[in-house]
Amino acid sequence: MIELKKISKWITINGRPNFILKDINLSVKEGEFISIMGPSGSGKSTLLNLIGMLDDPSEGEYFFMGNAVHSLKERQRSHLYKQYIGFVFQAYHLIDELTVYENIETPLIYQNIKSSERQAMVADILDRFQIVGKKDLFPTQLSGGQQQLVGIARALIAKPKLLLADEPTGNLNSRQGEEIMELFQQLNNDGVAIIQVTHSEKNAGYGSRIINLLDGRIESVN
Amino acid sequence: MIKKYFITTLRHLWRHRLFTVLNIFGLAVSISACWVIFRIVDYEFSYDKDLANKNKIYRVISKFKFDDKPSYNGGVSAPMYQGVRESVSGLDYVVPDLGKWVNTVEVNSANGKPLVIEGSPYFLIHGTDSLYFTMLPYHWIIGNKSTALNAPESVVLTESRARKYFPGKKPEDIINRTITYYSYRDTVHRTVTGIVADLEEPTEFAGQEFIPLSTKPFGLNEWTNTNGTDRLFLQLKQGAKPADVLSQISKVAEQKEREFAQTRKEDFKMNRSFELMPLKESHFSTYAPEYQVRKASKPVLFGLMGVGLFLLLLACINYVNMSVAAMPQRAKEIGVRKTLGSSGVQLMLQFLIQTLCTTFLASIFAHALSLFDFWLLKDIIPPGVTPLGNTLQLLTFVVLVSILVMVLAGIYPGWLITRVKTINVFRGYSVIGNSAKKISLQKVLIVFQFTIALFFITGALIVGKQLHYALTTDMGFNKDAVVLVEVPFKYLFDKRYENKQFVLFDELKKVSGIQKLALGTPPMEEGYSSSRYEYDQEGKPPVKRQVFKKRVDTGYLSLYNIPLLAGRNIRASDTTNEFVINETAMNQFGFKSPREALGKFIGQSDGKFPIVGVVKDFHLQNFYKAIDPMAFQSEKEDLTTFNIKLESNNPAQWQATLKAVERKWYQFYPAESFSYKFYDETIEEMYKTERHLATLINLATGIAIFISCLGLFGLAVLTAFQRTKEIGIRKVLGASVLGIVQLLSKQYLQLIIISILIASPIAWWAMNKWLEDFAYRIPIQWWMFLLAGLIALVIALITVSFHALKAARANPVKSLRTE
Repeated sequence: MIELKKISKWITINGRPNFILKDINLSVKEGEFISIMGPSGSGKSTLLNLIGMLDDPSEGEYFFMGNAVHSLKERQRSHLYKQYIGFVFQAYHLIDELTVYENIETPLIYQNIKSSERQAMVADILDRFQIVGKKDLFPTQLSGGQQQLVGIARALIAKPKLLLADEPTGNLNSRQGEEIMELFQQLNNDGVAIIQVTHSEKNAGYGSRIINLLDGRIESVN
Repeated sequence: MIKKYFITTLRHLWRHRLFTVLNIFGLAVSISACWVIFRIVDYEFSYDKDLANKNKIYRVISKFKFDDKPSYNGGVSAPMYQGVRESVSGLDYVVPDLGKWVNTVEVNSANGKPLVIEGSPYFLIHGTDSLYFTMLPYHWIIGNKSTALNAPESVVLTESRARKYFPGKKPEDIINRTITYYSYRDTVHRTVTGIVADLEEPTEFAGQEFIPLSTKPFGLNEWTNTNGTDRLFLQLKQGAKPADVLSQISKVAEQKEREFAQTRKEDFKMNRSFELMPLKESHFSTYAPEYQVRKASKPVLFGLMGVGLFLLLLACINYVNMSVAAMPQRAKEIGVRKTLGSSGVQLMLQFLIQTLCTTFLASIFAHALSLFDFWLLKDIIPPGVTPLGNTLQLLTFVVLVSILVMVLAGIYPGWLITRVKTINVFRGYSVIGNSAKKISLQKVLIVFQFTIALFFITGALIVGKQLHYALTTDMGFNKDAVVLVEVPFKYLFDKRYENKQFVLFDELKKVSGIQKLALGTPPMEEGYSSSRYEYDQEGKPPVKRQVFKKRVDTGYLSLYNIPLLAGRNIRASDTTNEFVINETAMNQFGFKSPREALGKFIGQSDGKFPIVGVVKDFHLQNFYKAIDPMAFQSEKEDLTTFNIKLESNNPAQWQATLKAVERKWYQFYPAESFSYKFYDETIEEMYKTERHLATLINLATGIAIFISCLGLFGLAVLTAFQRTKEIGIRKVLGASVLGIVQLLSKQYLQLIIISILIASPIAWWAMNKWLEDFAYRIPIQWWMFLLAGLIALVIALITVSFHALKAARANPVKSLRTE
């Protein structure tokens, strides 16, 4: 599904390139669950953003579902990730002006899905996550765990093939974190590929593969 | 989809209430100003707008030259229309409109008590013929167009006038009824022979009563007289050139002038030419003022449009500034939406909808405000302009303004939104360049706003100062506590009232509380009468000068405290037999000193009289005009204005004294209500336009300052919010409240100083242009700009530091904990 070939990312400081990622080669198959670990500044988030097409590599080739992302236009790229990728953030990033229902519905609107179909899809996921009772509340009226649940529901609503999660449990207490990870496990069993960035060994253990980054290089893969 | 956008937008506006209110308020104030201006401009440009042939209709107007200065008269010699009809080709219609002043109308009613309507003081009835009704789209309710004005004593009324004279009567009952018209020369009983529907307002053809043209042949001399109420309209044939028509008209007039000149012994010269004024220019021909006709000045209207546009621009700038400043707070939402698959266009659309909603709400609020504006400007807004026009117009305006604001204020922030880099948002980087050193668009816009505000402030200062100067400078005569009372014009030619004013004058002398009393033309007034006087010197060509004539009595100089430089006061006389002239006349006739002028004879060829005194110059007209040559003379029958000097040190007594004068007045003129005016007020009225300008510019200044401050306040709040953490850290490190207020205010003050530097030269240039028209004016001084700058600075400082203080006094523990 994902093929990264010799991906590097640098920023230029005082005329010298400063590498954030260097010569990353990685391939991910459909339905895999990968955890990316590493100390602060090792390039975890950058790697995740590259995979999520939020950021461009300085060098290297990136193939996603057979498409050469590095040579796609913005519009095509956007079309690609709209269709296949869902994001979950550490800080949830729900839209404060929208209700739970509307937050979840938003990606569908951007994909021009018909109203009746949207209703069915949102109702379905609200039910699955057992947050039907919360659907008319605004994000600020929810606890952190509940907000992250909505965030995940929103990421999944368009039935993505890949879920990207940047420290999804970072702002949650351990019990809430565990629930989220179990949910991920379940999703993975249903066939969704997951790539998560995490600091926690325990959470990383949910993945089938752990990639350790250090100073922008892949140090080891277990 | 669109519905979703609207709901989200409304929620967003509600969540950011403070800014929504600031934005709406700023926009509403300027939209309401635009609306009022739009109403005025639309009205002024809609004269005769539905007249199908308006582009073919012209007015002939007369142009004279006095001392090389052109002067226009809206009328032509009365017999012109006959000459034009006889010998000018290329015309569809030649339509005369020979006005006649009437002071009283009497209508006999069935119950015997006649309805008497007094003019205030006169109204105009119009002598014309059936072509008038052919050229203009009149609808005849009753009567026949081609015969109605055939009988010499017929009259055709408009529907509204008929209703006024015959309340509640049907047209068929009004026809053939008699109306009596009193003018100072004659009394005519006229029979109503037709009623026409009123033309659609506003129109240049404001006539309400039409009478037939006189059948009496015109004398040759009447070809050389010009009366402003004798108007001449032409409708040109399709394709006829106005220049051709004009040259034919000039030939006709010149021929008659030559014929007239031959009847006179001395050489006669008219200095007259004609112009064809297109009908659509007529309402804007301020250069040819006409009595009781309100004209609009195009430059003023364009100026107003400019002011409206600037005010709207100011509000848009606010909107842009606040939206841009709020961008960091919005960035998260934008970033999230992008990762959820939103395209740039969709994000921009959302922002534009938000702008549209804000503008729409502002428009609604603006209309409530414009009612207030109308009340505030009731003296300035032309009568006939209504606050709310028709619905279609209102809707068009709201839609157009909303779209305009959406484009002006929405496009740039909307574009910025699409530029937001998702990756930076999530990393917590600043989303847009916001560094203090960079010249950002925001700063440029604030400078622009304050430049406009400063321009207005300076303008208001200078206009106010000039007005004050014009009203309070020593005018060369003492106007304090002087009351003017006029003998009504209509009694002047009435034998029954002959000389009555002199008896009243003697009676008034007995009234206590009157310090001094004189009859005569006030020293400074709007109208004037002048003649060409000449001074013959032996061996040299005669000096000819246009001289203002003032008819006065012997008490006049002392009442107004006008000092004599040489010679003596004028002596009482029934007709002119000597002059007291002013210094300007002395200089222009070529006398080296007041003494030299004494005993010299000036006047017209049929009567020259000696100069017996020279007075110090005083102002004869408003400050636009330089002091002209003037001669006091005694002409008993022209003494029609009472100049009453009350005891200036005893104002409490004035009302009682005036009551006593009123009682005397009614003994002599029982039918005419007593009206008086303090002379200072009369002089103030001479500067009506300038006072209106002052009101407008003050209002515009207020609005400009208000809007700019709203924007500044909004920005200050946002910056303080964005710098909450910085402020917290600084406080923890020991910064004082004052230090932080300084930190937050400093950058704005710099911007205002830049604005002062930009606005001052522009304001200097514009105000210099305005002042140039005044013959007597204040000098523009540097402190005026300094003062304007100071005002702006203080207002801005208060605005900014108000919130800065709040931010600086906040508990740092709180602000840091939220991180």
